[in-house]
Amino acid sequence: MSMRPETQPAERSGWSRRSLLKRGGMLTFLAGLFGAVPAVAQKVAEADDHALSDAVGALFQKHYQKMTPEEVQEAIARITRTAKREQGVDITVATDPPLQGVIFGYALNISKCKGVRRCVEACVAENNQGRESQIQYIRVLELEKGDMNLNDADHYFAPELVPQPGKFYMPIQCLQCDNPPCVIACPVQATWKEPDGIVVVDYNWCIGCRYCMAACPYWARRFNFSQPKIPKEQVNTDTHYLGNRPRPRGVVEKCHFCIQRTRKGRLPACLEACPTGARVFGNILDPNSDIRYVLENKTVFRLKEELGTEPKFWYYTD
Amino acid sequence: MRPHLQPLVPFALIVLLGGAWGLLGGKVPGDGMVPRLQAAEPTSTPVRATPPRNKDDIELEQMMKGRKAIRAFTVRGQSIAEAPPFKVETRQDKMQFYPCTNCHDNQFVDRRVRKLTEEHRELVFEHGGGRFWCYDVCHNGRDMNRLISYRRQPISYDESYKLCGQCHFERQKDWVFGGHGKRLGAFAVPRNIPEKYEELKVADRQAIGTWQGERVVHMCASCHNPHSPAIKPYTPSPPPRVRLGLAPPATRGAPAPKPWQKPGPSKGGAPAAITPVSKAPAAGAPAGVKP
Ligand code: HEC
Ligand code: HEC
Ligand code: HEC
Repeated sequence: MSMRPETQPAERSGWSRRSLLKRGGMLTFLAGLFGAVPAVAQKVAEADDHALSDAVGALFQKHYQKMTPEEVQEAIARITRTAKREQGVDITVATDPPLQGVIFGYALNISKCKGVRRCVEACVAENNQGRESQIQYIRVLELEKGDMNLNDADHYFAPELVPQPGKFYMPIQCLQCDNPPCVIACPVQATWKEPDGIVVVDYNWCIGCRYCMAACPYWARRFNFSQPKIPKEQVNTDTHYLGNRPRPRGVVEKCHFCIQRTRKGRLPACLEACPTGARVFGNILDPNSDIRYVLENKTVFRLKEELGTEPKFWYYTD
Repeated sequence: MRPHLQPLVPFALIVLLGGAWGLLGGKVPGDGMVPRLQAAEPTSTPVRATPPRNKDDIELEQMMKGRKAIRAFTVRGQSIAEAPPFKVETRQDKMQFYPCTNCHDNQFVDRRVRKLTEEHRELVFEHGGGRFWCYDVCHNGRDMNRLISYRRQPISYDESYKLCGQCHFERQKDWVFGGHGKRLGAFAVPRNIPEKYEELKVADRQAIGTWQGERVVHMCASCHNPHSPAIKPYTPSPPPRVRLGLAPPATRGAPAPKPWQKPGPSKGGAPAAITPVSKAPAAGAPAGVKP
């Protein structure tokens, strides 16, 4: 029955003399090679300013949640070194853990939003996205009043002045679902939900398959096709490992509620940039927070609520 | 007790308790018996100045006690006085650059309604549909450096939201609880918002704005020009880029035809006359949008 009868007996017996010699020889060769690696690597690292060793290190690094603190520090050292070498900036990469007793929530007033897109601009600057790229975590949709069909929305609107009569505006970013379909779709668990509710991505673990983008019902995830090009003096050096740190090319990224700011108690950049005050951010577990006032007192809705994704991003009108 | 009466005991208890409750006026203890507007003040402390609360303020609160104008309270029944503490950016100190009393002596008050030609020419009076005039509603001719309330109390420029709140109490409620306006952040004054976020120095992006801890909010007047408070239209930031070689989708802005607009057998002779709110559908609109 077999197509290669002559090799069958050897394979059945597991280790024939010939295969033993072959594999043993290979092993010896590999061992020798690896023995030489540290010395060679040292030389290479010095010669090219750690470019190769950083690349190799990043390739073999573990999943963020499985790394020991030392390994995280090594990874951060690689990232900062690479940023210094490639962009000439000194960045800091924080690893602030989630705060105790905090779950972040966001509310957006669509009767106030005027489609000014300052949030988008701030987001691009804060999260070090390429100034020329099409990757923007926030998309502002323009809709006809009375029409909630997102298929009719236009996000390339560019009139002289906003708001245009008869239109309303609805920014969409990652809604940080409590039951995120993207996390389920990811075949390598490179994206997960943190205890404070933010869905994050381990950019080094991501294989760029984009299943999560297909799974996301809100079109919130972006695939970075290219290395961002940012003028040196505009690079935001205040970064977080799971947030706006330099990302390798070819991975999926998305809004992370400005994890580098919010875990330090600061406000997301989009909120700070909004001139109308349409955005409200806070801890939904704190009964005295702004966001709780909005959730309790305003007419709120969540996008595509029927899908059961439980977004922690509410839209409201007043 | 007779054994055959025993099953009736629970019913008897309910009747007794209900009767007692009825006698007490049908009130759950704590509901309405406790005055609502007690304590919890002061709601505001400007960043630097802390104006003292005056007698009238307290008197007004006493008057409001127990009143339940529905929209003046939150769903949880909190009044403005029970809002979480906050601070506002101070404005009174900016008066030193333009002290009203340099020119106004607090003695001579010209109450004639007219067009201001000598000074304050840049002001447009659109507030209240142009039905207001400077004095008695907001400004006090006898005390120009401060505003005035309906009850003739002085209101400092650090607390001008109290002035607005006399008429816009609902918005003021939203504002003190964080549902209107915004917290101070990298942008000091939204009315002068820089056109480009990148132009902000990186250090400025580290400014105070926090979602926890101290709450510092923008004044109403930071966003609304008190003399013509309607928010002016903005110039939008540029739209997202399209990938090289592609054009934005052709269907932009054109609403899909509603089910009742689809051409087809119409019942009762009513044609598909309802048009969408839009004026002209953009180029590339699917056929069938037109009535
Ligand atoms: C540079 C001098 C100057 C300063 C400073 C100034 N004003 Fe005036 N103001 C005038 C003049 C002059 C007029 C009369 C304009 C006219 O009749 O055309 C006027 C008119 C007014 C009026 C209209 C009624 C009236 O009495 O004529 C009000 C109200 C007023 N000012 C308020 C203020 C307030 C509040 C400030 C401080 C924020 C202030 N002004 C600062 C010069 C000044
Ligand atoms: C005397 C009562 C009164 C006071 C005090 C008052 N307003 Fe108004 N406001 C009105 C009225 C009345 C209107 C409606 C105007 C109209 O008819 O168009 C209005 C309208 C507005 C509008 C909506 C404008 C528009 O066209 O969309 C804003 C915003 C506003 N006020 C803000 C303020 C602020 C900020 C303050 C405090 C500096 C303030 N108001 C103080 C009575 C008042
Ligand atoms: C962050 C800026 C900001 C601050 C601070 C702010 N507002 Fe507004 N306000 C707005 C915007 C934006 C609108 C929406 C205007 C529109 O829809 O055209 C608005 C609308 C209003 C309106 C009229 C329309 C409506 O929706 O009811 C009133 C009245 C008003 N504000 C009063 C106030 C008062 C009173 C305060 C202070 C207690 C205040 N605002 C503080 C930004 C602000």
